[in-house]
Amino acid sequence: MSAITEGRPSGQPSGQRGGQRGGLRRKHPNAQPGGQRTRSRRTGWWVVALVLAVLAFVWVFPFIWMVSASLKTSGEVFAGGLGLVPESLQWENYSRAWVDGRFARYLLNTVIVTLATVVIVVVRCALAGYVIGRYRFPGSRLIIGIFVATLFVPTGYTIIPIVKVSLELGLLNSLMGMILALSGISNVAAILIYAGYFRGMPAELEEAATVDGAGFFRTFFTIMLPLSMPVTATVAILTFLATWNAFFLPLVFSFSNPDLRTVSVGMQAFVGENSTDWPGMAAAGVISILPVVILFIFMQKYFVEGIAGAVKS
Amino acid sequence: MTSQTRTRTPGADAPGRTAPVSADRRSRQRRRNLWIYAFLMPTFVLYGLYTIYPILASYWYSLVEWNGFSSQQRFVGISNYEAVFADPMFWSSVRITLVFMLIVAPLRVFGAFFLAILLNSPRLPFATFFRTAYFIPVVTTTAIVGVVMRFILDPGSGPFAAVVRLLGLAPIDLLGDSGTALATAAVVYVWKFFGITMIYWLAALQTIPRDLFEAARIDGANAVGVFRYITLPMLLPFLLIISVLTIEDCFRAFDLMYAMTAGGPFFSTEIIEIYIYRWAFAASIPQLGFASAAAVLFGVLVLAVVALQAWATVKSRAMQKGQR
Amino acid sequence: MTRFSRRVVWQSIGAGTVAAALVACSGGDVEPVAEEGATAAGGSDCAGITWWDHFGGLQDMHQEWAAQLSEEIGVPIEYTYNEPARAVEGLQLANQSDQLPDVYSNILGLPLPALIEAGWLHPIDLPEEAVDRLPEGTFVEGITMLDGDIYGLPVLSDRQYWAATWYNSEIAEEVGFEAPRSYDDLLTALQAIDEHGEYAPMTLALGFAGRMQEQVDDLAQAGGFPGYEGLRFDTGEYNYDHESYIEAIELLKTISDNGWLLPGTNSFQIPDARGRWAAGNVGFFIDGPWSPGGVRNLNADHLPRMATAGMLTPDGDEAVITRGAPDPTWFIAGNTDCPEAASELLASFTRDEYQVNLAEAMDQPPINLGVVEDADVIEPYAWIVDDFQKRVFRAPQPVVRNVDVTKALAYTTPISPGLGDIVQGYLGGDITDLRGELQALNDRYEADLTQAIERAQAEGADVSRDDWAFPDWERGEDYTY
Repeated sequence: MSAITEGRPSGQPSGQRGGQRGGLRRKHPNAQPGGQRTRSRRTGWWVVALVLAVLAFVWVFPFIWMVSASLKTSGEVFAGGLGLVPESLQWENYSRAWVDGRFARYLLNTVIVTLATVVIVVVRCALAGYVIGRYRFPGSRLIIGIFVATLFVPTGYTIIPIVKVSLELGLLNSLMGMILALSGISNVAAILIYAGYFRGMPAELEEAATVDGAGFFRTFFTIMLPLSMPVTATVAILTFLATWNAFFLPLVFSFSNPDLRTVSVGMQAFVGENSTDWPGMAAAGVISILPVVILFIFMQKYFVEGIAGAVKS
Repeated sequence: MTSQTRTRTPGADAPGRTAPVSADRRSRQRRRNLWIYAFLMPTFVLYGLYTIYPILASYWYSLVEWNGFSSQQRFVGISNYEAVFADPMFWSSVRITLVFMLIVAPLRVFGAFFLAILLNSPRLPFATFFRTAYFIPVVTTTAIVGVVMRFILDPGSGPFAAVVRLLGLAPIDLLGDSGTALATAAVVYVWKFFGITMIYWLAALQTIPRDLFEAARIDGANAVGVFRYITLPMLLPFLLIISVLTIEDCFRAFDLMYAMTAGGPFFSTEIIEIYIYRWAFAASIPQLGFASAAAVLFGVLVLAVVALQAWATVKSRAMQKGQR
Repeated sequence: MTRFSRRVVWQSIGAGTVAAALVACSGGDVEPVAEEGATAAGGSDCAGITWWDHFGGLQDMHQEWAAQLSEEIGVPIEYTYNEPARAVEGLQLANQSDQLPDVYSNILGLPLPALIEAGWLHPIDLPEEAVDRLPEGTFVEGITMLDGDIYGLPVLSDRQYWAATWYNSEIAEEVGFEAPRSYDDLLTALQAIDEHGEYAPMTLALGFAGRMQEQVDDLAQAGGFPGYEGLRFDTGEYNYDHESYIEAIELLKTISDNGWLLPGTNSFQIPDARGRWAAGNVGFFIDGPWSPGGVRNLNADHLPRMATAGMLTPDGDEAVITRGAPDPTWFIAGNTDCPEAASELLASFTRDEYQVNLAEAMDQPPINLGVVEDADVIEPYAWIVDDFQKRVFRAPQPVVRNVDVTKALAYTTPISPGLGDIVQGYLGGDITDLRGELQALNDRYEADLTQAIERAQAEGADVSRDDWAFPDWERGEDYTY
């Protein structure tokens, strides 16, 4: 069902059954003649694992350091060094970021903007993908053509007119404006993924629904949309990542009203105003990053499949 | 998702594709079309407002002189373009954008390929754990990572400075030295998005049927032979797609760059997006016409890459077909 | 604003229906806070005053002042601080969306007549006694007034310089150096700190090109440049490659090449640099008179350690500084509904009480410099404000002599790379031919000014390049027209 596991007879991701599979193969008489060689090969992989583990530690070190710095005093952080354990835990760094740095507000804004954007994007892309994928209608070729032509539009290219159009609609200094702009830019890939998925569904589904008396609308919402859960997960996760990360648009949309800042923008403002408060900034960073990391660890499968889906479609 | 459709006959069985014959059918079709347009409405509105209109408007703004303060826009023809072309800083930013891409793309594509090969091996212990660890930077907020990296690399108090001291070297200011800032920012960018390319490769690797490896091994092929004659040819089409996706990604480095260096020191990390931002929003008197002209030219650059992508995709599809 | 955004929040949560939200939002220009708030003082449609500024060191004071004045005037006053880097963009977007705050600080960087022309400003109705409280000659046609109407209110002193050499007095005592007056004094002191080994000799906001530009402009003027911001008073020509500029930049280059700058200085913004200095382990820091105010926000413990000997000159001579008439500090929005209430708020800024508050915040000195004597400030702040009175003279200004000059100025565009960028590049080694680069800078400014004048002339303005020349100007005297 999922893109990433396809082609694997077991349907399991590599890591989970890796050991067992290796064990099976080792017993194969032709491929693995000598026990001695097997052992050295296994040691070889453990060495690789060790190297990867050290590298992985370096890889995530910035985050470990951030968590550590968020619990130190300013003096400890500025003293430098590689020590990660604080002398005593400075929880007030968190209260400073949360209350004085207003990250409570920024986090709420970010959650609202992200959730609303994900919902809008999923709905609009599913709707568009469905009709584009399953029907040919007057103008369909033109629409697909426009989509493909604008598939990769970088934000730096369009930010000025987006500001203008938002101004004209009276949406510039509002979360709603931010949400609409974020849901309006560059989600062509999502539409095309949906289109590809719906196109592959058997026609009998619709025919059966028509026989049951379901109209166009009901067919989509009661049959097609629920069946597209894997794609919806992909689109939702990709949109979630993009929106949570977004900086340029939220920056421009909250210039004149600090209450609208998201964590990305808020972090920049915090840096500007308290540039020497490293522990406070580290705490703010932890507050902003932790929710996503936790979400990722629990929903890793979807994250991975979501991104894998992009390369396969 | 191609993988889905591959198992079935793609699109052949979709309904409503035959020409209508009766009046009844025609009216039904008309009603169906109404529904279709209704379904497209949200996308028309949002995409039209925030993508199509801005693209068109950029072209107009690039032809006027306008400081954003006053409502007056003075039509100046192509003189904004002339000014952009004449500005050495623009060419410098083009060069920096391309250099950035040339550092980032190979590191990401080949580095991630290598890691994915290792992670894909059934014999590697803790593969899932490693995948998680190497992926984590992807899910963190770019603008915040930029700030954290400034601390990490701080030549006075950062942990990197501590390592440098441990090795007995003089302090190195990686982000503050125009000679090293771009390369450093590029490496951080690679680190931040490495996980995505890694997942691309893992997905690609898993399209290779297991039985092929088993068969090759039974035939007595060694690991190098398997890699050379099975893995590599099977992955070649993916190399194209993944390269293009990654290269394309390099044009979106604004967030990280803005948070880490904001283009400095002495413009050494000023990618085109920062150049546009500087003239459109950060100048004391914004030059929106000028910035739009630069933006349009940036779009042309991206378009060139998109054309490359279209070409690469077609090519790789053809190669895939040839194999099956 | 808060109420507005909360409403938007709830709408957006249930935002399946884009259209409904669109309608709600586009009609939602901030609901009036109190419709019955239209008092006699406020004007017919006045529902309250919004007030924006960019003075970080004055935030608390302004918050309190807003509350106090709100009661006096009888309309709600909503005060918001925007950090300088964002304030321009904020105002620019607010103006285009017809949401300009009623009262805002001057950070736009456009000449007054151009602002009036574009509808940014409303005349300020200052009562007689408010005008009388300000020094004579505060309001100048073309700078704060046009056709006799006041459009901009100056409340900060025009007598300042911005490149004071601040140092840590404890380090000075420990290492043993005197307050430096000349470039050589500074180099000697820095070397002493370096040899002592425990402290970093110096830091700067080298990452912020705009600040470097201001400081080098000031150092060059103190070092004998017969003009300001690269433009000579006597001939009216750009002369960034003047010896005084070269000397000032070479001083910084020497400091940088000797490794006397705190590691990381290359990319420091103002708060980074000031913060490190305020932490107490760095000897020197170049900053404006507002330094004590900024330091108090970052680390109040550092205040007693602060010391300054004013601005350096190459040979330790008395610095001579030349500045124009007071620039506007405050404006009233052109589309305000509350001109009277806003004028009342602005008039309150001329009161001694407010001027003392300004002084005590130790940001930029107040326009009534006399109040500093009675204010509760640290000694170096009082000293430097006193130094300003002795050293700062009135500069000739083309705008004052010929108002049409502003029409040309309105057509000038930002120059990039600017002086600050060049300093950055030279210190970092990206530029080797400093003089050539400064000459190129002259040419860029000259070309820009020429095209601006030509455009103004084409529209009938009576302006020429000669308007920038003041052959009768004398260094060290207040210029009179």
